[in-house]
Amino acid sequence: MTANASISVRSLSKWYGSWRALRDVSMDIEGGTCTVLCGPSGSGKSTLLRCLNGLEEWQEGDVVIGGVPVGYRAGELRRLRRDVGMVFQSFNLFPHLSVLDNVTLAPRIVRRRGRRESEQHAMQLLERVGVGQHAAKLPSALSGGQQQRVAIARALAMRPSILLFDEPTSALDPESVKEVLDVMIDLARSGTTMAVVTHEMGFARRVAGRVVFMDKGSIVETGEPDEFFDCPCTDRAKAFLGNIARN
Amino acid sequence: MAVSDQDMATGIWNAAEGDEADARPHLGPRQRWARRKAILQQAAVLLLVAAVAVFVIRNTVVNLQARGLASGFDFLRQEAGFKMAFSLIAIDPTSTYGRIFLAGLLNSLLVAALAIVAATMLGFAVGLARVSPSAPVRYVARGYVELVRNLPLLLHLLLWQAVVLRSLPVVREAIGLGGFAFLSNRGLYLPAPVAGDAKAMVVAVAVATGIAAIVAGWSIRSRAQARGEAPPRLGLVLAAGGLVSNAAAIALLDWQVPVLAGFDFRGGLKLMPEFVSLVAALTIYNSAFVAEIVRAGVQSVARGQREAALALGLPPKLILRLVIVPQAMRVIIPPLANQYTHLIKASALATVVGFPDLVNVFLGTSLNQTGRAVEIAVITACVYLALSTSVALATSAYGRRVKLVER
Ligand SMILES: Nc1ncnc2c1ncn2[C@@H]1O[C@H](COP(=O)(O)OP(=O)(O)OP(=O)(O)O)[C@@H](O)[C@H]1O
Ligand SMILES: [Mg+2]
Repeated sequence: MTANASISVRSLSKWYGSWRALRDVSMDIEGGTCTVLCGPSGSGKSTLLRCLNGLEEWQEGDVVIGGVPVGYRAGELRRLRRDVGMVFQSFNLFPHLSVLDNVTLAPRIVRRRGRRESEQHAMQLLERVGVGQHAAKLPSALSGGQQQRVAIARALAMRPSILLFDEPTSALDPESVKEVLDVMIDLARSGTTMAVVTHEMGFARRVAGRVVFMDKGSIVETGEPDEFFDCPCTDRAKAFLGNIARN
Repeated sequence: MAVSDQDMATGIWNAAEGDEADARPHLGPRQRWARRKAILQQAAVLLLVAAVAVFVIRNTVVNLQARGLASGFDFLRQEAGFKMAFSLIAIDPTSTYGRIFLAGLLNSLLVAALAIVAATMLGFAVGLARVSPSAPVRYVARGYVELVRNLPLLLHLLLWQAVVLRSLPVVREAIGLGGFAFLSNRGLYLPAPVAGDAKAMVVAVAVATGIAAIVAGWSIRSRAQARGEAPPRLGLVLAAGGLVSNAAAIALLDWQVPVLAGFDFRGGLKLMPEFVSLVAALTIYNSAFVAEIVRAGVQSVARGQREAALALGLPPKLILRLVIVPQAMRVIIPPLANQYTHLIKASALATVVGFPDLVNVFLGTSLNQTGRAVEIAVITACVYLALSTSVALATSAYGRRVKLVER
């Protein structure tokens, strides 16, 4: 897989039982660019994102990452996930492992890196996201913003070519939001392919190449951030932006 | 279990304290009142307990004296005059009640220890199968659990007794296992070292260190494996050294092979069918409960943990072992300790099949012969209390070691 793989979604449809969560979704993310996904709650943003690394299965359509279609065999999925990092809304750090071990676990086992090498790399990453001094602590001793930055370091430790973020700042207080967004802006500027579910307009305007607006399982509108936020074309996007501006 | 709950509570409290905890503040009015209330309540409870104890002891002593019954523990030094069908230390009709007590205790411990180890291993396997991604595996495990745990333990025991006794041949037609061990409806006959030798001590030490070395080597190896590293040489050397020392020790011993003499085998170690069915029934029955405890523990781990591990590309087996099970232990350990206590007490069912455990030979035969009901009941009760307490202490120590951390 190339350093900054592209993502291509072709006519993707997904049902939970009889509920259709994704309706014929098609989308392209160029290698090295950042795309922001937004839309009302329940519109299928998380579902779409989780299809990109095969955490969800779907019924129709294809997902192609770095030119390789995402398959369904366990081995294929594992190989794909090595190169696609994911950061969750609720951090999901491993609470029984130290911050350092959280970051080194996957490189040591999946990438078969030596202990010394993976710890050095992990320390570099932890320094980069600004939590180097907490390496020996358990995650529960860290603030939300610090935990989320550790989670980003954990994803980066696998040297992924794509990063997926699912509302990484919506469980954080305003100060921590800034800490985490700064790290993400830094990553986007360094040319990592990113798909980010977020309602942070400032972040989108600064680094996103494109904004994708979803509603009721389909993509309703896409555009450059400034265009989209300043004069959305569709009524649904207008209503949505009106809502988040008021809050 | 009360002990572990308390430990977990203090654990949470410690974790909540920051790095730079400020100097402890003075007690507020509410804390002072709570403290005073606690002291008053404790004093009241202590008084009540002391009053009841004095009443019971006085009553017992008075009653015993009135009926002219002797009391005291001197009977432990008297000859018991009976034999035990199975014992780990030599017992003959001249053995004292004290020695009978010791032999019964060792038998109970042997049964409980074997059943706890086996039930834990089997229970973990079945419990993990209960949450397997493969549906047939889940169904089979579910069927096993439902079948096993819904039958009374006594029924398990009698079924095993029937199976072991009925299906095996008589002594004369015993099934030979390589000419060294024999299986018949009278039990399993194994070769055993001749005891009483000075050499036996040396050999025992060699075997013990050998086993310790193997265990240490194996755990170093598996830890390295879990970290994805090549196994360090130290682990291999330790394991190999342990194996060699064990082999040498075993070869050094004078082995006595059981031989058919008249109606029974002579020499070697004889495991009674009662022993085999007791251990089997305790193991199977408790494994079903352990399985449910393990399943509940695994399911208590947040869904996001599995997803985060999957998203990193970790293989499912290692996710279970490195991410899920360590966190599940927090939920597993307290009820598991409880289950062990159940098992230890249930081992007293040995009496039903006639296996000479502590209750059978001490609370049963010895009490009948001496009539020292109070003393014997008190000693037996103390033994079971001590065993249950050690289980609680051991598991809470283990719980602290595996860091039962807050999420
Ligand atoms: N496991 C599931 N089973 C059934 N329905 C589900 C499941 N997960 C999601 N859904 C449904 O699919 C729809 C899309 O969910 P999704 O989580 O993708 O929304 P979202 O856009 O991420 O919303 P939010 O902003 O609240 O996170 C929702 O209506 C949700 O109820
Ligand atoms: Mg979501």
